[in-house]
Amino acid sequence: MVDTLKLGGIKLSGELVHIDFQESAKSSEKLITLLRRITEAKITIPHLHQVQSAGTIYTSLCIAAEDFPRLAVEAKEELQTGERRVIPSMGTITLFPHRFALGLYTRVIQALIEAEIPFHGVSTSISALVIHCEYLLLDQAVEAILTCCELPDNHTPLRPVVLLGDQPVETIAVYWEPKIRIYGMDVQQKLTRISWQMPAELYGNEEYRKLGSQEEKFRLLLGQTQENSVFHGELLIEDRWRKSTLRTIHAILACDSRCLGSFNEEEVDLVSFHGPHFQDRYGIAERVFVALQKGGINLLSSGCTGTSVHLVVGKGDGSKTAECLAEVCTVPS
Amino acid sequence: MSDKKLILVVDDDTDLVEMISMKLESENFQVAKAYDGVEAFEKIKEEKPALIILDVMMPRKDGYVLCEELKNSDDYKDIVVVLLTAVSDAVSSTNYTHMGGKTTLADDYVPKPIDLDKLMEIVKDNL
Repeated sequence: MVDTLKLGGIKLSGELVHIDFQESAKSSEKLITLLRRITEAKITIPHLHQVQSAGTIYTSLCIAAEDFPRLAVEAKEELQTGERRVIPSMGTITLFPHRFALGLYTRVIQALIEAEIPFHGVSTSISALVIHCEYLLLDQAVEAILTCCELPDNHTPLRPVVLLGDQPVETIAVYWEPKIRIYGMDVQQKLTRISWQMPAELYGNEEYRKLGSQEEKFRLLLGQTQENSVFHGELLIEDRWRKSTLRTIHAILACDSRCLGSFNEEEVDLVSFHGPHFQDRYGIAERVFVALQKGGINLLSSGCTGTSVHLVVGKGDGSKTAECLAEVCTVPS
Repeated sequence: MSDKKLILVVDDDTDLVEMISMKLESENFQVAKAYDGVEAFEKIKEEKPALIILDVMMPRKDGYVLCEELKNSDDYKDIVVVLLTAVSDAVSSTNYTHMGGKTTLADDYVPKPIDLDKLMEIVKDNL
């Protein structure tokens, strides 16, 4: 009998639209232009993540499906260039808490692969592992995940429809604040960023099952499956987990000649912050990315999920990044 | 049996639940977690916490309703409730404001974004 992993809960998103695009890692023009349009349309972004390889940064962001018609008007020009891939009817499954366990990620992805449920991306917040897949497959995906994970007795997956008795709970209008209120900013140094690309089908292989089997922990996990079914993955780990994680990833990549040269390892800093009800406040991502651009920060990758924002920058750039962000963020006293 | 006091943290923001829980554990409290009002009530019945850190705006049952139920119940009225109020008072289209929170029967109120050290002080003062 296989042991199941204990979860605190599962949340399912409403219907989302993904917008994916790529640009040179030296530029953030496409990203900032689109974020500006999203802010102008007063739209919030539940998830945004970026991975980088070979000088190209791959951005994937999503908005609520009901907001997309408004964005389509605001950003007509940007969305029609063909440089951005719009994927309708997507959704997310949020598993919490992840306790930074790499093994949870491995088991969940394995369960999805076995159930033949394609996943579009993965990202993590302070507490949660978020899997992006087709909206219509969310229930099947939960069923697959529950073959390897266990929920508390009194928990059923939380859905976006909120009810108070028979009445919908009041939801608030999205709002904008002149400065982004946050709980504080954290800079972690001496982390190893491992990035790799591989055909998504390799997720089913024997070597992959070993990822996280020695109870390795991650600090941040990001991944995107591109249109050509190539998966771009990124892991940030502390030094003590470096060797065992690298050994497994090299073994996975060695299984397929298409993975040759698709691996990178470097020391980085991670800047993180977290704020209340980010999901109801629009314009946050735009101000953050503009501040980084103005400060000349070379962003390697990022993950904005739920109410946390993680920014991966070069070794030694963490403090400077935090200073740039202090221009747009505030910790109320 | 542990002599650590049990605190129940209730918020649908899972990241915040984790942050507060880590801080409470570092201060030697025992922590239980719930992610909406219905789940919280089940945990309260099972575990009888000494104090509840309770968000106001949550799915299924919000913090106002849960707080009122607890404070009107002979079994649970003595459990200390610290309410986390979230939405800026500048937003006129909601009842989930700090001022709104103050109209409830909660024992104490903390506006978000919370200062974790301040929250620990409030927890200790109320136990």
